[in-house]
Amino acid sequence: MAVPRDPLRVELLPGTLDLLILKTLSVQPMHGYGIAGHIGRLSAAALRVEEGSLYPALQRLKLKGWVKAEWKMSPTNRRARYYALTPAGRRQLAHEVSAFDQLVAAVRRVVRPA
Amino acid sequence: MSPFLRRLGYFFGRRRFEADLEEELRFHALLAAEEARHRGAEAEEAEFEALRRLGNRAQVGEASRDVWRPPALGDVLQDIRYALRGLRRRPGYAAAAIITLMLGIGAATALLSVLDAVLLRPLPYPDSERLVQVWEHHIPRDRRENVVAPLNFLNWHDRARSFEALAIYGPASVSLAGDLPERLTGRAVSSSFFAVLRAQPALGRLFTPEDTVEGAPRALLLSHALWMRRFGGDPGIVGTSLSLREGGAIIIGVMPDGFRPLADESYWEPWPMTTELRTRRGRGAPVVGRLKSGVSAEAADRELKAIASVLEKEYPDFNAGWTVDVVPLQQQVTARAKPVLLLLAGAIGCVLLIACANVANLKLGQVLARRAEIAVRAALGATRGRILRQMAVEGLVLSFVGGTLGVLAATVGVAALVRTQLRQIPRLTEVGVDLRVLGFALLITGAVGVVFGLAPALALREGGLRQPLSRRGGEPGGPPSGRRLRGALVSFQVALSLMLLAGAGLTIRSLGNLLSQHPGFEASNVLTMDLRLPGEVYREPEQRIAFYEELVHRVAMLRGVAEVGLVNALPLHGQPAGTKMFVVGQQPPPLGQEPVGDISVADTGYFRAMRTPVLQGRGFTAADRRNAPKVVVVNAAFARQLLNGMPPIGQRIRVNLWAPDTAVEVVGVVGDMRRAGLDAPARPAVFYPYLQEPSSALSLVIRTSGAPKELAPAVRAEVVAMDRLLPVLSLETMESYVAVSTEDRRYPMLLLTMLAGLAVVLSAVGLYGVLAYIVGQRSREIGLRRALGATSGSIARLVVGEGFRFVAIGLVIGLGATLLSTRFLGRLLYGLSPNDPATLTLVGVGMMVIAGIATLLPARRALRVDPVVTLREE
Repeated sequence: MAVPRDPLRVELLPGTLDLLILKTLSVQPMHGYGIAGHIGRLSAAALRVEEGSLYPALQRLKLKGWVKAEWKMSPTNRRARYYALTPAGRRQLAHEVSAFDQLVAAVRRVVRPA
Repeated sequence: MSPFLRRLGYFFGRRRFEADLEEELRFHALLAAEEARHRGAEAEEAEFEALRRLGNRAQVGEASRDVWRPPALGDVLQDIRYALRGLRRRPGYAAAAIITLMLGIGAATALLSVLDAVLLRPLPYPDSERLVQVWEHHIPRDRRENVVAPLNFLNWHDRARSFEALAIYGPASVSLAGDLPERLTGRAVSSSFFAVLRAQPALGRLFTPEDTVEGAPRALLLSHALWMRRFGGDPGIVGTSLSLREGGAIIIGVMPDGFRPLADESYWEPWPMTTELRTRRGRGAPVVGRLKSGVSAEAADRELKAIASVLEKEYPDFNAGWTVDVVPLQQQVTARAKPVLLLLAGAIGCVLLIACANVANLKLGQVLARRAEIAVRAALGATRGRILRQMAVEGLVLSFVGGTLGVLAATVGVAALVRTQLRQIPRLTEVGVDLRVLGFALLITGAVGVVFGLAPALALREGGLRQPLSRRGGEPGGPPSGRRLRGALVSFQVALSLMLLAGAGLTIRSLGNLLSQHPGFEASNVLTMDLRLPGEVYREPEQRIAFYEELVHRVAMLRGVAEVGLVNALPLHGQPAGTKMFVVGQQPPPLGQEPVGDISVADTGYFRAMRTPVLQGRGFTAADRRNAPKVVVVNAAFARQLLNGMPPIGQRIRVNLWAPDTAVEVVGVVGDMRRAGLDAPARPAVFYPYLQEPSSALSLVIRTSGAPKELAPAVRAEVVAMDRLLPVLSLETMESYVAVSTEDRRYPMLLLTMLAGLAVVLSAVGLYGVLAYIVGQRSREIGLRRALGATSGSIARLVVGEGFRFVAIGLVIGLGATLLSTRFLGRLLYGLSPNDPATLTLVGVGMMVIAGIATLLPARRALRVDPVVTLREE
């Protein structure tokens, strides 16, 4: 990946993309562009998800059975593939959130010792 | 739904997947472009952005597809690259492993192609499982597989219900007259012959009953090969007449390409049911049959045995003691070769196992030496499964390279084998490395690769994976489990090698025993020539005698000829005719139990030329001619078995076949000659003087003063000078017949010896490898011992003792296996017991000597360990 042009942008930690996608989809089913946009907006454009990692990640989640895909009409009346969480995906999300919290707490303890 | 099933869904719905992905990415690009315009970017820039994303799309698609592909594929390719790189780095190890595997797999593939063609593939006829061979069987003498009396055949043919067709056949030959005279070998066959084999002519018709009517023109069916060679494949050949030396004939048809059931015939003519054959006098023709569908060979056997027992009562003089055996043809064709081929298959299996053990050992050494590397990989996160897969892949790569080379070697070897045209292997021309064999080779290659690739993994137990990092150099001698495993492999190899060596040793000694048997004649410096005077031309006895006298006279005048003799059938060459014989004045034995012996016709010079001694009385003289009293010479076995100690000279005997009612006088006794084989003791034999029984079959025995083969052209020239059209059937040295008669033991012996040699070399290499490795691992310990004052002797004892422990275990196991397995040598043994103690001791000692040599080199290396260097390293 090229050097980020925007100094605000940060690299995603490996493995966090799945978490971000699952979290996004827990709000409502969305298509790929919507997911990328949602993550971008919520992170105040700090996290930018490229198609090159987004779509393979969606396929990976689909293969693991955490999301399911369905073709639907978008509000602008175009055909789009919508992804939604499965029950297994919901469980995985809970698991990944707690793992992430632990990781962040651990990293913080190291980086900013009390 | 499991990921596996979802992956399967991807595999079968790939087109749909591509279309969905394509549409999805296009949708994404569209929205992105719209948004860019929205943000007020220049239209141009938006276009560029969209294009950039489009170019990216292939990459995105590839990455998305990768998710669904089995993960192994890419990794396996990587494993293969890694394995190849590793092998290039260790060329010695790679070469040793590949050559070992090439030999093992090559030998197995070559043998399998022979086994497949000879034993497994059905005979090349429709419904061939219904084909049977029918033999007569004399119970009191236990003479099986006797050819059949034509009249008995006719009775079976009329009475039996089990057969769709039953056919009899016999030898036949004709001489083509004209500018290019040629002798053709054919078969006289009953008209049902083609029905038995379900063969149809390519041109013309088969025989009909009209063809056998007295006075009908001689009808010939040509083989495809003869038709092409002699008649240029002329399609108008059917119905044309042919000028033969024996008279006219008409060509009624041509058989299809490749139809040659008896391998050497080039034409067929109808079986002549002459009046001569209509008397029950001798048994001389093979019979084959096709069973009705649903009838088993056993049922047919029972039916014919019942018919035979009726015939025994109807014609007791001829049939007493005789019954019938029905044998499936496939079994018949392979019966003699089968045990030897299976034996060799076992031997080759052993060699393959030894080869596997060797490569496993090499591999194990490699793995143990690379423990540090493996531990690093494990520490860096490679899973245990990944490492094991890596090992299996390396094993497969090695075995496929070795297997490919082995198959190539087998192809070359099999082609060479087919060229030898060994008569001991039936259906040899059908042998070849074909797809079936390749499939098998692939299978064993794969199995071998996985087995020896994973065997070393046993040494890398769960805990052993990371441990080497923690300790420098590891334990002396490597982890105990690895050392035990390698030792066990060596013992296993030694055991198998000992078995093969014992087999080779026993067959070598058997052949030696056989060759030291005196056959009753001196085979060296003897040239022989077979002729057959055609009955149509040499009809009268006087003609045959005149021909014989001139031929012997001409050959005797040649330079380099010491003696000339004549007989109608040479020893060790073809089956001699046997018949019942009686001594006049003795109580005749019960029907069916009469003594049977060989009968031959010999001339005045025969016994002298063969150097067979006249023990009593005299040989034949020129005075024993037509009008003189009928005389015979008998052999020592006749005197022993039939005369019960009575003086032979002057006894009068009757012989069933030629003159059952005329008694002839015994004038001499000659030494026994082995006729049926060097391993078959002589039967009683009766010789008639040629001048009194001038046969049409002539075998000239020419004792030469120089190399017999050099006289061959001159002898042939004399025959041509006397009768240009008379073919010389064979012109061979007597020694070559002796050699041929031992071929069925010689070739298995040679093969077993080669395999045993291979096994011993492989085992020695394996032993050497293990000991060298152990010495390498223990060099620190050895150095310490030396520094502490251990003598060279004690160090050598240490290493040699280690080696001999493995060898001793192997020898004990091998001896047990040998005692259990040598009986499979069966017929290959002659003149010694299957567990001949001398041979077994010899091979055991031999194996030990070889093992000793294999341990010496590592021991020497251990002695050179410098204690100073070791201590400095510590």
